[in-house]
Amino acid sequence: MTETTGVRLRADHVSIRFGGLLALSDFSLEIRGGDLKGLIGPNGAGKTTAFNVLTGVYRPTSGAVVVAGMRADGKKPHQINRLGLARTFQNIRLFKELSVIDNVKVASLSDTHPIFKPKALARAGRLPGGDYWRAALEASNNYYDWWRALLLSPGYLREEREITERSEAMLSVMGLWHRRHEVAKSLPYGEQRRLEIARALATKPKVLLLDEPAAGMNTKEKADLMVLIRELRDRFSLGVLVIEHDMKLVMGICEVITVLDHGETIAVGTPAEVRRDPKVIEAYLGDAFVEAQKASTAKSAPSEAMTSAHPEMSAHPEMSAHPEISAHPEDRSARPVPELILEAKDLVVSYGAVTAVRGISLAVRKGQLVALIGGNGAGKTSTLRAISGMIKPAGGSVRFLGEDITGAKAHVLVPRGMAHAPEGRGIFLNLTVEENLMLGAYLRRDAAEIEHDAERCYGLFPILKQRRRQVAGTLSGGEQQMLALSRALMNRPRLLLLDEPSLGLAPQIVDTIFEVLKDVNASGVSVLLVEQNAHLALSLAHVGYVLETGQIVTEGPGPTLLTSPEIRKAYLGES
Amino acid sequence: MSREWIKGPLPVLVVLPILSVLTYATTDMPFFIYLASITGVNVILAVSLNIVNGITGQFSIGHAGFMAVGAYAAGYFSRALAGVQLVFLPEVVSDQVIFLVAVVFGGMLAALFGFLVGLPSLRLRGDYLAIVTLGFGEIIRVFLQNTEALGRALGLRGIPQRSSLLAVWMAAFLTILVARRIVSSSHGRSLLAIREDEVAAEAMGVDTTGYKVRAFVVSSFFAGVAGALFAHFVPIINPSSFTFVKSMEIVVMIVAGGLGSTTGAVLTAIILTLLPEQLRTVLTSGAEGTDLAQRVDQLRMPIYGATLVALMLLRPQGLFGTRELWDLWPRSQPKASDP
Repeated sequence: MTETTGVRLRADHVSIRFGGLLALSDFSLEIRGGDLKGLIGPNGAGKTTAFNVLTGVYRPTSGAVVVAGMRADGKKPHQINRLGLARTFQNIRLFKELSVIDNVKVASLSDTHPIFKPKALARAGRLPGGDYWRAALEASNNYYDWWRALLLSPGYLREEREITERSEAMLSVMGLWHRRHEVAKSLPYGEQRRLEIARALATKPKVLLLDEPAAGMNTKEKADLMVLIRELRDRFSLGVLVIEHDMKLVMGICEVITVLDHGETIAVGTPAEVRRDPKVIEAYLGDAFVEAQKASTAKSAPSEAMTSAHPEMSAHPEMSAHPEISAHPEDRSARPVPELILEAKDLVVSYGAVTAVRGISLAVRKGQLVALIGGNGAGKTSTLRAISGMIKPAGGSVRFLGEDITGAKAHVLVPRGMAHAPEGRGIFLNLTVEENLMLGAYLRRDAAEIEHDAERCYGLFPILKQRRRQVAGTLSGGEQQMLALSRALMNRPRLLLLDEPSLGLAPQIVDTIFEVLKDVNASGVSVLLVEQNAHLALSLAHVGYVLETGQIVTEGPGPTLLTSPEIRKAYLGES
Repeated sequence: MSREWIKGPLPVLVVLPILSVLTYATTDMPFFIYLASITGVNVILAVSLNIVNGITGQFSIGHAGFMAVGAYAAGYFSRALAGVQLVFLPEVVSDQVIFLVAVVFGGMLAALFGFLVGLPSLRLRGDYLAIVTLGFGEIIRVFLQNTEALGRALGLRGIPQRSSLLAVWMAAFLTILVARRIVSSSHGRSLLAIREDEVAAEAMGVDTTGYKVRAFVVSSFFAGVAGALFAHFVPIINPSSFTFVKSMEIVVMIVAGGLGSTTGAVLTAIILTLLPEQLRTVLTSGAEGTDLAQRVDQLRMPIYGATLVALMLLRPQGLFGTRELWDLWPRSQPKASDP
């Protein structure tokens, strides 16, 4: 195989299929030394899948991955790492109980000292039953290395010292040297991210893959990280590929960006090109959003001034609320203020060193549909979980139906009328559709009424009735989401918490689900909806809150927010 | 620098004379020797299982099976060579050489079984190892129970009694030394990394399957050694010594000591071996031979159980957690200054 000089990582028309789902299709990418490329896309677009294919966690269904001139697909992750590909993880995966320096030492593996050299191995491989001979010789090599460690041979001690020196040098580069004896899990979040990068670099990679390195960082930490990534690339002459949701960061450092949506590559180009690409905006904000903004652009004359001031945003200048859209069909502003169902004040949620939600206050009134929107990692799901009692908030208070429920467990809240359809649906995959529904009514004792409600759910989603005896795991993603929603309704909730009902679903199915959601809301159930798809959620919502890094950046009536510049800022990282 | 080679054998050179003196001093205390030998065997079992369950983070519950392989292999070997005397060597030395070969043979055979059991089951993540080792332990026991040549349920008798306090505790010391040196080497760090996060370890270039199998083989080897020693100081070995209960006993030891802590495993192995014996002495003192003594004696196991339950409630991470004995003393460590 001829290799263009300098190409260190190449993905050639890579596709991967999980069952019926084409998670990644025809993905191509090239990283050379000194490259700094980005990979972006909305939730569920296949970005991490792409990383997993490149690093050997998954084997591609078709296509090839080439690392440093060697075919890498089909190899194991540790073999691919040795070829020169190192990665970090989206949800930090440090060796938590080990010290900082040990984390790096694990990655700076010593050279092996084979008694049987590669030549001998190859010769053994040619003998009859060669694979076994070869494996036996390789095993001998491995055990020989263990013997050296057990006997503390001088050579081994020298290597250990070298590893320690190398690791300490790496930690100095990353500014973590003073923390080298601390346990990894005790580091603050930003330093944990840096340690993960240090660990990846210790494997002496040619290409570094960073999976959302800035997730959960504050603005200053992000700015530092941008500088650091550039520095590392130059210092170690790396090729770097970054997955990131923080658009500001990606747009700021990456030279070329690949945009994925539903596993397909929808755009490749410089940050400015990608930001202008209508397909990209559509993928992030929904097509109707683009329409609304176009219409608005045509009518608003003052936007010309903005356009000239910010040429890179010329296609989508900031704009004010559009009167036609703000006339929401279910606008209840004229009526007296309905009673408060849910009220959260200064809610704070922390996971160890990470603060995901930094003081959020929101209210849901009777009959309202409230949307909580924002990019990935903004703290939406954490807010929902803190409200429904799945996690304990670190600060603030939650009131439900007039009672203080701060820190109350989920099983206490369900009988009081709170239902939570979690992200990823959380249905019981090995039970039938009907059994799933019945479990939604677990706390109820009125058999006849339960039957009636089940029929109502089947009425809302006729497909579920057809599949009532089917095991839920065999349903499609859309059907599973319908089931999750129905199951939540079986409890006859006063308040329904919905987490990303549109995640990973085809547009028609999303429409169906949102139609039903609208009906359910109209029947008097208050809804708190978390969504990535800003347009969809806001066009339906009475009130919307926009979250960014754990804080509410703007709030207001849904349709008004729809055209607010804050939204574009939160999603596309414009400033 | 030039004297670095001494670091390897140094601990052995220190401990060997101490154990020799101890062995010589206690020659006429058969009950003490028996109790100390049982304790030493349990220390070997606990420390070796800890390499897999504590350090590598896998879960094996068939350690008694590997012990049985070592016991029967070494016992059979010694019995077959019972009358043989190696030329040029006096009888005592010859016996000890054959004994040593038997012990190593028992360990090697157990290691081979460890390789065969570990290779298929350690490729997979999760609980497969537990299921497979559980099955393996039972298969070995049933096999021994039904094999004429190995004495069926009556067991293997007539194995020469060649073990000594020195042999058992030297083996125990070597096991501890190996476990500690593995942990502090780059190989040990790879094992710890697998325990902490297998996916990340793999991504950092650690051959996770290979390392898990190697840890399992080392662990099985020492289980076999423990069995081989055991076979040479008990009058009879039979399948009922190597049941699932025995495996669980070892698991309990390392869980109570703190998974991953070698000194914890040593300490709890000693305590949990001697505790039932000590309780017998304490509970029945002053009332020997009476009806009361018998009734009190029945309380022994409930107290043993209650102690474990209390320990798990009060210290779910075990006595030491993943730390070692010496970590409990405050050490002068460079204090981290703020950046």
